[in-house]
Amino acid sequence: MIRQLPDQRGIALGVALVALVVIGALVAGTFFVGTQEQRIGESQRRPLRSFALAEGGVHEVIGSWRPESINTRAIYPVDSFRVPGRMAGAGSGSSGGWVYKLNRTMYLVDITGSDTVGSTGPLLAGGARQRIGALVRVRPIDCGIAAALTTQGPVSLAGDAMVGGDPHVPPGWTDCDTLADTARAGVRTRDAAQVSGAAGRTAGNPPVLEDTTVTGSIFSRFGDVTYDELAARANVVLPAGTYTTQPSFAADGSCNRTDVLNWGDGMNPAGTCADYFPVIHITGGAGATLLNGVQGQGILLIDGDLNVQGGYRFFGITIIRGRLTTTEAGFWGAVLAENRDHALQHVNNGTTVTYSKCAIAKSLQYAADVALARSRAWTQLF
Amino acid sequence: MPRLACRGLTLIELLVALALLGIIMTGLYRTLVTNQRIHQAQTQRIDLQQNVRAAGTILPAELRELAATGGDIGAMGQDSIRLRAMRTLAFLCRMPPLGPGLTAGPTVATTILTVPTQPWYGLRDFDAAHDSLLVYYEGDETTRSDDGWVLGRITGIASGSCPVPDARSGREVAVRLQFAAGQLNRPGAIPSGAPLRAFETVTYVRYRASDGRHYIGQRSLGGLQPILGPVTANGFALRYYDAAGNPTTDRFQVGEIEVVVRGQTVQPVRGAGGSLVHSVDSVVTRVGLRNNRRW
Repeated sequence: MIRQLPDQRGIALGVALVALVVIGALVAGTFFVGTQEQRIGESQRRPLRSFALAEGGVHEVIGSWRPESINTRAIYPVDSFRVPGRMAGAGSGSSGGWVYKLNRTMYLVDITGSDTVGSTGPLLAGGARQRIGALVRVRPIDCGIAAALTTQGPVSLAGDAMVGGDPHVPPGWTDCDTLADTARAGVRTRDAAQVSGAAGRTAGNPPVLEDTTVTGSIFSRFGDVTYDELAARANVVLPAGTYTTQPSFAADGSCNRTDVLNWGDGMNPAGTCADYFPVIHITGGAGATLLNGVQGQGILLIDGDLNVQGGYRFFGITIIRGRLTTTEAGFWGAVLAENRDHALQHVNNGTTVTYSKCAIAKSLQYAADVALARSRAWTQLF
Repeated sequence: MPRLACRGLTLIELLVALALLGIIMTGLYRTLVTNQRIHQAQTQRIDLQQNVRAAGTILPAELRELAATGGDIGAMGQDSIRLRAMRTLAFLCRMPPLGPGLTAGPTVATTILTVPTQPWYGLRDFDAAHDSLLVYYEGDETTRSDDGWVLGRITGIASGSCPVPDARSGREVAVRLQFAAGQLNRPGAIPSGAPLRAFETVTYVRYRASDGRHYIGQRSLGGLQPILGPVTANGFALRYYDAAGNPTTDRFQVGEIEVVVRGQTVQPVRGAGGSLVHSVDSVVTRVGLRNNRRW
């Protein structure tokens, strides 16, 4: 009989430990590879999401453009407009940035899109970021202005009235674009025979232009914009009535844009209200409006008739659905009087209607929305 | 002392133990070798994936900013493309003097562009040796239909500053502007604030390097630089589509570009069959050109 030795040794424990280490290493390696893959995928997804957020942010700014608050800003570096951070729908990220006014017609929209780390991550913090820029340009309203005064029906010019289509810059105005500016007609109408007293009271190329395309539609549609859409952009809305309008100022000396009878200051180009070009809408198609001093500028939309007197001066575009009557009045820019009823209109003594591309361009600039520049508008910013 | 207590192992026991140890050690060795190979293969594959993913980032960033309708694609082939790569975006702070009487003629203007360093976007400063310019042409500001860009060649760069009270510091870039048909060399045609883009002409091309491998490189006036690789012999393919999504060979009509990059590992890795091969991965990206003329 062989006696069993109680202290006989083996290598089972060692083998087991080695096996555990090897298996552990394999599992750890698998987890490592998996984690790496996940991180690579995340690092691809986050920039794509932030890129989409930035691009979406740019188009959001363009789509929600408010001319009255952005177009009136000073040119960079004097001023800029902050686009507040905006969370994406599912809280997956945000976008925000700045708008810089480059000159009268161009802006740079600078938007950063940020992917949010988690649902509790702070706005514009963490995650990937992409910065997109867009050059946007004021979309001019195409009023098809071919004359100082465009109208239908009979017009009577009297006294020393003058309707001129030769290009002029309003007195004292600077920074005007006169490139390719040419003389327009004095009066443009469907039937030249209905313009009486034109000799010596009209100037331009030609002084009176007979144009059979002058119909109601040119007074109600301006390129892609209708009269009603333009009226919807009005900064000032008043019922038909008698008004005296002039610049007014806040206590701190700034232009008081809340005053509905402050229509800017075209007579004082260095004044604090000189860059205020409101869109003014006088409602009431059956009513008549009397402007009796002092001045205004911008785009004036009159649903009914307009009577101007008392040395009133207006700089910009005047669109009247009814008829025009003036005495001792001055217009710089262009006047479009639809004269729906084809009633007799009077341009009386002391009236001047002077074509001015500069006044037209400036008034449109402050009413117009923007669109991406015609080409090379998009840029990735660093 | 009992005799049995000092008894050793028999020869058979020793042989069995050695055999078992040999089996275990062989298994262990194979496991370690396999682990090492897996690690090497994974490292290679991760490098490969990073490579092709870089292709999906670098090339689209260059292509997105092109305006094919404006001539930004100089030449295009199945595995190469010559383009204007945008490098800098800046803005004028002074209206440049223009006009046939002041400058070289009705279609050419030699003038000075004053460009502040803030705001300034891009990869680097102007490089007079490599860069050309595109300057925004406003023309008549009451219409957008004449808006465009004027091509300019840099003839000199000096420090300068904007007019007071702005007075930002910047650059004064001497350029020779070439006006296109319909553009007027007239004062005010390029206003203050007009954007200015600096670009260099580069070619992205697949080429075979001295190590025998294929790479995607960027060729510019500075020479050919590898951008990513190695790729397979057919590892860089470009397809061109117009705005309607139809294939096109007209470089002015390109609206989208499809980029296919097939990368391969630097070192061969053992495949499923046990043979050593270069692992291959690919990425396909379709890029919409953002800057084509809109009407």
